[in-house]
Amino acid sequence: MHPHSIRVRLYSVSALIFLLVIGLGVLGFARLSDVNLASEGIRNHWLRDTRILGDLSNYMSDYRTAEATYLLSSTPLEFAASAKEIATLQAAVSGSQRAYEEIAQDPSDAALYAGFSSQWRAYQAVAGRVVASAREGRTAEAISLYNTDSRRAFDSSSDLLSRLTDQTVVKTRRDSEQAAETYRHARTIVMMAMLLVAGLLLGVVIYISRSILGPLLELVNNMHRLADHQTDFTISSIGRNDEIGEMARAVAVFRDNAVALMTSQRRLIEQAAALEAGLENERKLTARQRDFVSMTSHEFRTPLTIIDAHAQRLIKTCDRLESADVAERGASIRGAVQRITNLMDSLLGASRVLDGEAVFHPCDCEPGGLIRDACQVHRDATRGVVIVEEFSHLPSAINGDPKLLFHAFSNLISNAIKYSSPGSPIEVSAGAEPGWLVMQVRDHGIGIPARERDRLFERFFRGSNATGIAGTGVGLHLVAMVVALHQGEVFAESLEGVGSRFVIRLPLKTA
Amino acid sequence: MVSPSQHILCIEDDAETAALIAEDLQDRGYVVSTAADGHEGVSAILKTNPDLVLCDINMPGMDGFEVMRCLISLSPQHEAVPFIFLTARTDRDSELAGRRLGADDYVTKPVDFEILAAIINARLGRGARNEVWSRQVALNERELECLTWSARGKTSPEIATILGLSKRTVNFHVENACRKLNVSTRTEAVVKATSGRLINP
Repeated sequence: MHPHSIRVRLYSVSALIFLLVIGLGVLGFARLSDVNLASEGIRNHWLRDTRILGDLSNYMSDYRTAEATYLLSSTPLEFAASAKEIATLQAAVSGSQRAYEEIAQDPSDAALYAGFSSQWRAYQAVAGRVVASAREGRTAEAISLYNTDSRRAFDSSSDLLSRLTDQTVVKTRRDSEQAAETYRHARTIVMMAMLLVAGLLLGVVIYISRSILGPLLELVNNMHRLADHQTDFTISSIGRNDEIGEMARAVAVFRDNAVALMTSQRRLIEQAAALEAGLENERKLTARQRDFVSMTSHEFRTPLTIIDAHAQRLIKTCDRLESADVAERGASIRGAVQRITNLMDSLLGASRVLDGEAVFHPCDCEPGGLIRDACQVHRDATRGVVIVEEFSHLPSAINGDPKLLFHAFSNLISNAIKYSSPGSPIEVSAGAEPGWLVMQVRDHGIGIPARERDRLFERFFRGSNATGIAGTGVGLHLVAMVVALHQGEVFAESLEGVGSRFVIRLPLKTA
Repeated sequence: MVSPSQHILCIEDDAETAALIAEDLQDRGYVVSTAADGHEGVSAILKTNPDLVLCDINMPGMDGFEVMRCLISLSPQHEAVPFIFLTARTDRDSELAGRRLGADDYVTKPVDFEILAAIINARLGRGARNEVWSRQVALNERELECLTWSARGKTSPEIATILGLSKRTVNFHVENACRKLNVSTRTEAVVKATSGRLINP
């Protein structure tokens, strides 16, 4: 058990209180016996002395009276009665004297009493002479003796007795006061001891509440705060090396765990959100890829339908075919094959660029020629299309990959045709700005909804108003990638229902 | 292959494809008209009452599904007109969407004209199965005419006037029809012929 532990302290405090109680009891008993002793002295000594002295005084007065009565007696009967009374009183005085002598007296009292005793014996002798004179009929002599010697002796002894009585009373009072003093003293000491014990107990209570209850309540408060997910508090008693310290350290562990738990929960939530977002993206991309696959299939099937239909017609009408007929169908089939080839080229090109496998072969090429070729390809592929070319100050050469650039230009033109009504003119223009080649394609077609313009160049993205128009959602993405490869830029301006304008800007090498 | 030429409307935005389909179907004796997009197609259906509609799905402006929806809401009386999607969209979702709209068939491109023709024939009630009973019963044209007018609520004298025959001849044709259909009354004959699609009152 650790010497600073609360258990040890509580045991010590309990032992202290026990000892205090014992000490208080012992002290109380000691004081009590002091007081008892004092009052016992008064009761056994002084009270008896006083009573005996009082009796003595009475008996002495009665004796003197009996002496006088004897003097006044006239009949033998009266003499006998008085003599008997004198004898009785003499015995009573002797009894009291014996009783007084039995009690131990201090020297001053003893001296005074001895004086009294001898005076009393003297008086008794005189009184005996008075009685004898009276009995022998010498009344006058007896009376004179009674008034002189007897009186003097009696007064003297009476005086001594009263002095003794006074002295006894004074001593009695003195001892009473001493007893009272002893009681007061004992009371003061016991009360002081009680106050001391009360103070000690108060100290113990304060100590316990300061050093145990206070920290305990603080820890409870901390636990409550932890339960409310608050962790920004300090645990003050963490450094103590007793049970409170143990608990504080346990609370600290709890808090650290709670913090770790909250952190990991937050991280989990973030991860879940990120995963959710990733999944959503993945879903969107998958949906768009599915659309891409089905649109690609559609794109292939359309020219295949034409080829197949011509073939079927050729088979069915082989007995009545004319050569012009065959030639026309052949041309149509070739047109459809061209459509498929273009499609494959663009898809392959797209997949090459998209998968990052594109072999970027920049060389000096002539931009005017590339754009013109792209226009011409579309004139050939789509009957009735009107493409207006307008070139000004075209640089004679640009550093770029001619195949990729052709794809990009061709794509923009193809889109312009696809999203315009047949016969509406497509305007293709190209020119130079300082340091840049600028190529733009403008149409008067369905346009692009404003809110979708930002996503235009995303892979597989298709405009909401493009439903029913064949397309894979790859073309513009491909354009953007090609332009990026050439460190150029591409952007679109469009008004839904009015038309669109796509601009490609390619940097010119100054070298 | 007989009878009055039936009218097929082909709604197809690719002009070349449309021309080829029309060429083949015309070769098989149908009257074919074409529409280049959805809007045109809907108005052609409402105006010309074709016997069957072939419709592409991917078209600018209004696609094939919308054509069908538009038709359902605008003109419920055209619900009996066979409606066939002919499309390059081969994915399951598109076919499901088309069939759920109530399309009579969903044919994908490239198209085998023989198969297309067979589908159209069947839909127009010219399939082998459709003709068994009418061949067995073998009502002649007069008998069919008399039953048709009876179904329209005309009496024998009225039918005689309409067809320029005598009342006795009308009754004779109706009795023959009853015998061939194996029924005893004119009403039964009309019901049986109508439900067997021998007549279209």
